[in-house]
Amino acid sequence: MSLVLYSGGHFADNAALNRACLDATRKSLPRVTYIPSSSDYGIEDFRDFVAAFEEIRPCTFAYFPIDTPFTGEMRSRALASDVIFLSGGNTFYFLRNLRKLGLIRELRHAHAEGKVIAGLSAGAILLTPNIGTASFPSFDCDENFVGLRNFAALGLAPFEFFPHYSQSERYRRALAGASRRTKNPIYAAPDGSGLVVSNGEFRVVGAAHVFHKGHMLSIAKASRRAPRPTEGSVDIELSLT
Amino acid sequence: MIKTQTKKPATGPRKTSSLLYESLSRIDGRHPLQDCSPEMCLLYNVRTRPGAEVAYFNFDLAREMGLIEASHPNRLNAELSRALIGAFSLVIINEYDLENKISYPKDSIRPHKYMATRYLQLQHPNKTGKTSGDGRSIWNGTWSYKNRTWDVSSCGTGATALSPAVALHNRNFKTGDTTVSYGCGLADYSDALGAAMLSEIFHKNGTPTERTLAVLRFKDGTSINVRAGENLLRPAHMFRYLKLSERDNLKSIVDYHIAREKKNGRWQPEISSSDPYLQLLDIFCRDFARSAALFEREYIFCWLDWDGDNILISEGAILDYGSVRQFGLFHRDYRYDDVERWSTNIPEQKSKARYLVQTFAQMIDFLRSGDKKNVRRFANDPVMELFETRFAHFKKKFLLRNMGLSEKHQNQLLQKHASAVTRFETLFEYFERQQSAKGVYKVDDGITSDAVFCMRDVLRELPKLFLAEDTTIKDSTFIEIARSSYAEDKDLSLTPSRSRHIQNFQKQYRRLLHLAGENDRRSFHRILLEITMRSSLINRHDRITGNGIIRVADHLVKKKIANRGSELLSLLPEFIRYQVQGLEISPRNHGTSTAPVLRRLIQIVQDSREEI
Repeated sequence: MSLVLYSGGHFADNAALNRACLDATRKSLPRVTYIPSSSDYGIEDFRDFVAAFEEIRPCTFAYFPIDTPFTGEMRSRALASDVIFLSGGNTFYFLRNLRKLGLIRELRHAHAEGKVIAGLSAGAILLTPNIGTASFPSFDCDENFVGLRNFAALGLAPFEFFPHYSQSERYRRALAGASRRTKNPIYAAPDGSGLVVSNGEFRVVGAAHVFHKGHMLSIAKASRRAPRPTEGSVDIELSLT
Repeated sequence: MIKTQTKKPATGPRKTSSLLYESLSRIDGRHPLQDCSPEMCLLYNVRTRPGAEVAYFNFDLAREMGLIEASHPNRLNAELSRALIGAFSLVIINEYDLENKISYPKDSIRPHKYMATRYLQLQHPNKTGKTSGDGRSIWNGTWSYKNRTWDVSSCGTGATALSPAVALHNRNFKTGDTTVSYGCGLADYSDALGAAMLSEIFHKNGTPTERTLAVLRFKDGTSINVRAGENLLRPAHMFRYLKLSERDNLKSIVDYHIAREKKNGRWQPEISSSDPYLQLLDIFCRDFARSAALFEREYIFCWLDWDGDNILISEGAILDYGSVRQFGLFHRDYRYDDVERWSTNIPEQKSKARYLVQTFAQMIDFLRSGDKKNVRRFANDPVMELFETRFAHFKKKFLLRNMGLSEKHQNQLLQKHASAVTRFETLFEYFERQQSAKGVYKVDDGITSDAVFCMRDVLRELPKLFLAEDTTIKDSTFIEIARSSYAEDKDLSLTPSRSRHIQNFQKQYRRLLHLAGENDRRSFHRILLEITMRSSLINRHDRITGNGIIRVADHLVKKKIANRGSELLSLLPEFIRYQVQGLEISPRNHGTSTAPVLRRLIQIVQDSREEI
């Protein structure tokens, strides 16, 4: 029952999160399925993804684009992996396709079965209750070119997630405002950082900020002395700003 | 403004740009062929055609040619626009103009004459090339940069006396007269955009071709398409002198061609003979075997025929995109209806290429011996056997490439495991070539039959499945992947024979990967991973087709996107890049790639993916 939420950046810059994904499987040769948000350019990201994960330990991989036709056999082979990784991209397009193909239910089922579900940027937003954070702020949001109205997502994490966070007043204002309109806390993380949720506990890798009911909490960087996160540990410091 | 520029040190590069732009005016009609083969050149005075706007400029090609600096931004400025229009917005003063004593302002007439060239064309009543050649094109000249020389020609510059219409009706035509086909001398803007995109996609994917340097558009929907290639001579240029038995003229043009190829660094014969003519025959044989194999594997329809038109001698490269198409599937029986004749179909292109090599052998023999023998005597010339061997080699090599195997693995398998490759190829073609029970039927521009299977989809999906789980897939899954949208249920029945073929196909496919990995388990997974990546791009689901490119160009024109210069100039390279197969492409631009127009174009490509 593990979730890994990446904010963004190159796969190679997310080594701690990559390791968290693989450690959570408790397997020496885990099988990892990469689901790109779009087959357009997806394969190039997959190449970088493979290289970064193989840096950690040997794995076997599956590549499963969902916006081109695929067979039932491909679907069952891909979803049988130990880690299912949802890539970055356009969140609305990605959610529309997942829903259209009935994959929302299957991903929830895979998570309940104990598989690791991970996502980067758009993929991370999809793990939360809804994809509202993809639609703001106006200066940095995805274009809803598929005209999606129902923003409900996988709902595997009990909070919302804002990737590519940058420490600036306009981001802070936008997120504080948004947090007043939702009952869920919003976790915002800069590129190279992320969250690991495992069996009800969570850990920040890198840095993150929590916005809730108009307030902001900053979560300091994880201990530099322990770069290899341990499953189930909570190595964060909270401070009110 | 001028004062400010001269004061600032930053004016240096700007000044260089200006000089480069000005140098375009050196492409002024003069061409060495006018001295080397004057009889081949029909010279015309040309005048400025007013009203042009630059619709497209190929910045990548211009950089390669040294027409702009390497650091030049992909933006058209007023100065560059003026230079392009100045150099290329031309129309010939043709025989009709002279007969009707139509006069033009003296200052609109350019100082040098421009040539249309004579060559064989099967659509002409005279089959010896006395009346045929460039019907609506002129050669603008040559351009040299870094030891390479390009020919530059323009299509849509007026009706010449070499168009089929003149020969058929025995009279000259006014430029722009649309009452006869093949006779108006102008080019359609939509066709020009299609040619610019398709030729650049081909080029970037390794298919030898002429390229579009610029497209100038006019308000009446016509255009001038400026093309460039390192040597724009066609076999038809040389074959004309063979037909006319003019050995001296033939020698001049062949010697000219050899000199150009050597200068451009394209002279790499594989035979030991030091006779340049025999070396040329060897190179021609190799290039045409390669091109014919490529056309068959990539489903490129190029209408090869005995005349040696529609293709270049150098590299067997494609030119004149009027009839060129890329099919989505192996639509074996498609033929274009050219009113008085049918075109070739995809599998016949090989025999046409073979016949061109045979004619070339006859031509080289004529050149060397002075005795013109019947072409049939060369049917068993050793070069024909070489052609067959090379054709078979390249066809296998391109199949391995389309599987996603690296160059190293392709060569390794061809050298060490040729019989395994042949077995796989036989199985591949068993599926690839099956046509629907519907048979041959009429379409808008000809006849066709429908391929039942899309084997490029199999090459893309199979490694993904094996990567996810290292076991063979079910027969029904194979059919589900491979079936084309044209296939009906009766085309897809799982007979015992077909079932056996499906199992054998997978077995041979996996065997090739094991052989490439030399039976090492780790290597097998590694190779599978690599070919998953490569084959996903090579056999992309939304691969462009002939109909796709026509619809994309029509969409751009109808929605008036093609009239918005700067938007088009950024859109076309993005669209072209999106169709490039290699992994090593320019960095993406997420912002642009989500642009609604590009998305619409991609949708059009997807909707046409299995068509001709």
